[in-house]
Amino acid sequence: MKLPSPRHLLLLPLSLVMLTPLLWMVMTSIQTPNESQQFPPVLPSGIHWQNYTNALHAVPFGRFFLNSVIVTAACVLGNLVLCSLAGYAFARFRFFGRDLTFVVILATLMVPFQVVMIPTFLIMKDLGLIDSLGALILPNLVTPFGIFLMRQFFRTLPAELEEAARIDGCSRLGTLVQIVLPLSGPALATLAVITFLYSWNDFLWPLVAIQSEHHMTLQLGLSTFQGAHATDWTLLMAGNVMAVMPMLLLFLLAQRQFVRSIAAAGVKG
Amino acid sequence: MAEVAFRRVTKVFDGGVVAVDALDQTVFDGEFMVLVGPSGCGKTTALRMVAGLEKPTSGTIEVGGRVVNHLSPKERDIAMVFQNYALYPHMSVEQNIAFGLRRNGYPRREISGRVREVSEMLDLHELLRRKPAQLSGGQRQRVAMGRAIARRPKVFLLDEPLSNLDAKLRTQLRAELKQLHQRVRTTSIYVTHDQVEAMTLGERIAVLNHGRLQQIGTPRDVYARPANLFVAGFIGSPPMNLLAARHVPGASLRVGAGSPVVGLRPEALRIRRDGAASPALSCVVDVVEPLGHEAVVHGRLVDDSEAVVVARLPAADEPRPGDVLELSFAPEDVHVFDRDSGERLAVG
Repeated sequence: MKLPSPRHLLLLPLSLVMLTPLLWMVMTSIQTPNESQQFPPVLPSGIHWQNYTNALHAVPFGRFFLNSVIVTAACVLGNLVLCSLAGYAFARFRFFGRDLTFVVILATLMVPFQVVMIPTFLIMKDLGLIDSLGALILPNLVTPFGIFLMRQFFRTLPAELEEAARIDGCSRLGTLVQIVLPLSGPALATLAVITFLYSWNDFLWPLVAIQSEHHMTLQLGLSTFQGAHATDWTLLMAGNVMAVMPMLLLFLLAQRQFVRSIAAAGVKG
Repeated sequence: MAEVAFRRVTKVFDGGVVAVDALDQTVFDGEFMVLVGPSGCGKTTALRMVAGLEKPTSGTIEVGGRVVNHLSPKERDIAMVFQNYALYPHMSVEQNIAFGLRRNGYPRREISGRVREVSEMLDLHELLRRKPAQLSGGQRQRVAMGRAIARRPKVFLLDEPLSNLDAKLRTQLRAELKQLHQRVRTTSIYVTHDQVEAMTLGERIAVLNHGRLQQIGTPRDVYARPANLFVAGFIGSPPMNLLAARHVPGASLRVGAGSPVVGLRPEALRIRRDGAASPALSCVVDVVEPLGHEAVVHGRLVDDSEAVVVARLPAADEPRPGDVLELSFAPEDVHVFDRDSGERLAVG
């Protein structure tokens, strides 16, 4: 058997530190309420699957899940389409004020969400979207990071391919759809993964924009398990495990893109 | 097929760089015209303006008698082969060849017929299902040609299509390209910085420098009567020897006043045999490059060690470094240029 390198000897205990919260969550989700209150934590006496069924019945979990899926799917789709269009324009078109506009868009990356939260709320209110899924989708349909990511990627593609397509009879949009996007798999996957994670995990904006239970997303819905005086940790963690599952699956499937996306975001600044 | 005409075409890039300066030139219907010059001379820009990928700053470009300045690339009915081939990496060879036809709405049967025809012409039928990444450089080049031919455009534009290939393949494909043009006889404009390619391929060649047309003519014309010092130095390999007239016996007598430069091609120089009366240059041999059938000899004049002379001598005459040679030439092989303007002067 191959011996682990010294680097791995260091990384193994570190990964254990990272895994602890996840393991704790899974453990709590199968404990009795009594066991979950113990400190230091104790191993569960048995597997209490009923925490999961209870969690599913205590709140409209299916509704939350569906809402999260709708919002996330719309945001991912919106970002893929709109960021590609904007990124392509910034990468390849020559127009007055292009670079300045791009810098301004990039600068908005530095504005924390808390700053724009209230103006966004007011805009959504004027549009009559507050307490609807539209309020969660519309502000996140296109992101400056997505535009930046796509522009940087498009600039790495050889311009001759697009010129050949234009000579072959493609319009600019046709070139984007038929030539550029099929070659942009890595960038599109990266953008999809990042948007998915952001949208799926978003808590603050749904908390502000949504009031009725019917329109809550998973993250917001789960918070209803936390009462002012008491929290049923076992149900909350069972709900959490179910909420995290799609993300874990996505991560396992798109691990390479995910790691690359972080590398790309770090390097191409 | 069509004639392509540049009418005082100028292209100035942002920042004031003049890439093409008042280019006036006509490529005849069915002709294979080569634009040649050093890098940055504006030849590729000229080609891209015909393609519609760059807009001329002033002047007009005509294809088949129609001004195309304001037409988009797809409306010009041209096909272009790029230096890096620009094959669509996500499509098979077949899809690459068919792409332009599909975009232009040809019926399916017509498309498959043309793909078959082109793949037979270029020996591509075994490769039709492959992706460009699975092809060698030469095969990619042929697919790029096939993509252009399948369109049956009025004009082919070729931007250094052989420069990414190794020397052997380049020679082979050069011959294939020439053969291909003889078969299809489509007006072609070929851009290269390689004067050997220009000489071997072009029916006429246009030499450009600093965005200006220096000379246009058949390869033989341009070689035999270079219009100026630039063309004289650029066309021919090794390049023409350019010497001050005082170094060349016999030459100064015939050119009259001014300060002429005398040009002698390396292949015009021969070792003077005893007793011959022709004028000759005395030079000391520095380096000898044997090529088998001949030798390229680099030397310096005996009376001016700054003046370098290159000669192509038959293998039998191959000297050794340090030898002193008397290199003779025929009077008709002497080219004379004005030192200041660089223009060719009439001899006699």
